[in-house]
Amino acid sequence: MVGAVLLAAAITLAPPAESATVFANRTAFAEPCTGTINTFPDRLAREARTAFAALGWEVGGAVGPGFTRRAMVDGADAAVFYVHSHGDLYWDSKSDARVGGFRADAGLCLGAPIVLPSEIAAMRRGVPPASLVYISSCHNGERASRLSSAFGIAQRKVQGAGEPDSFYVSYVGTAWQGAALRFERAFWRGILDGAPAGAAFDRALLVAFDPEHLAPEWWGGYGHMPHGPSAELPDLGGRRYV
Amino acid sequence: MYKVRWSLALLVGLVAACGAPSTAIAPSGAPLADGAGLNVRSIATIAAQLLTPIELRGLITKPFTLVRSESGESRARQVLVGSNGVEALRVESALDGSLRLVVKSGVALESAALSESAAIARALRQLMRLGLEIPGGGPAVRGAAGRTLVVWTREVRGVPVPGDGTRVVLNGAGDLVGLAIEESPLATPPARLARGDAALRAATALMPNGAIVDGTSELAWVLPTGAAGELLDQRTSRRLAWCVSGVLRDGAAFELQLDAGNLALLGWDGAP
Repeated sequence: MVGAVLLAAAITLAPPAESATVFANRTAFAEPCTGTINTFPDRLAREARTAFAALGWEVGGAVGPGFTRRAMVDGADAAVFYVHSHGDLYWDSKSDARVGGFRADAGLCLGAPIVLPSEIAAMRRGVPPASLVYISSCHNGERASRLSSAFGIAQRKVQGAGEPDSFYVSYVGTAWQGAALRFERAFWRGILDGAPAGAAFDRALLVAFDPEHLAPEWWGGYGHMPHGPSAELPDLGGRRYV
Repeated sequence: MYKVRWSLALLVGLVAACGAPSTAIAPSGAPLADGAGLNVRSIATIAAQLLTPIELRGLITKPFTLVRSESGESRARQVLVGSNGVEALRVESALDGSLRLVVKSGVALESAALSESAAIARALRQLMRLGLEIPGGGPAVRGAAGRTLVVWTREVRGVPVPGDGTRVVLNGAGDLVGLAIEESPLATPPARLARGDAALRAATALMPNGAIVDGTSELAWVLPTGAAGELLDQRTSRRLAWCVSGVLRDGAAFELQLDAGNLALLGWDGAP
């Protein structure tokens, strides 16, 4: 009995899942729903998966109809999280406010289930703040969205002393997929080059995306390096001191 | 074949130059790799213009590398890192020596916001400081995550080339975060342009039931969707296209890009 209680306590107090999840909504952007072939969700998810794996994380999640609300909520306690889907300041009747969130895929063109910040917060209760959260959707980079706080990341930018070990990225207003792909690709390349998340974000602002099509936002620690627990430190071979 | 040989010779020369010891950080007008057929500005020169003596202290040069930019252009990249290994300054030049990218890391976050005119003035000052050409026309100014983007979009024959042009990113105090200059190759425009109203009809025929096409079409030089955002092995030319936007049944915005000559579908973009 005591052993069972200790085991339960150990599970409850366990460190955050050393894992990453990547979800992308394919169906809502596919030919039967939009009239044209759209490979953006697969490409965006592939970029994120590749980056997370290279950073030393074990990557789960789903692209397409397997991205259900249940699968997403179950995976919401990951240390590193990416989603690409429709996002908006959806209404949460429990808090009587517009709170942000995004739609699952669920194989539906229209009316796919909405994942609200409160569901993620409930799933993450007792879990430390996420290391890196990338919500590739419209509107979840706005102050009214409660998604960042659902992942334990306050809506503030910190540089230098007292930086949190977390980084949250999303978009303000309407985010176009073509611009998002350019920006995200550059962001991941920056991270994989060894740049801290804030510097990778700055670098991505310089790639050729149309700023009228994308307004990226971030919160967290500028200098945060979202490496997985098993990742190796960057190789500085060839350096020369002066 | 001549071009292939020339490129190989350049690559061999560049690799040889990469093997040489990197230079110390001291202002110098000397070209970086003249012997390899390159005449790019040294990062030391640029660092001396952009960084304070305190910021310069302890920086390390990494051997320069030949890279491909996001747009597929071959570039010589030079990097300075701090003693902690974190990158402080990156400079990329096209192989003809043209400066393409300068980006500083760790530029202070400032809560102040620049007015539009102040942002343009600061951006122009940064361009002049580095001896770069001042782009024509008025720039667009946008804020993003506490930074200010000043963007001069390139136009060719009066038609915009979205993503091409000069972009300067500043912090809230007007300090330089980075600048980028893009100039994509353009395909030969079609001998005969389709009319804008024909583009609207073609777009309407492509869209599913319930989608609403806006009543306007605009010309732009676009990358075919297959190439947009991919890491390209070689530069893909932009093509002249009619861009038609609208909304899907669920209210999501879309844009179709149709070849300006034969109205074939070149690309699609959507807003989730």
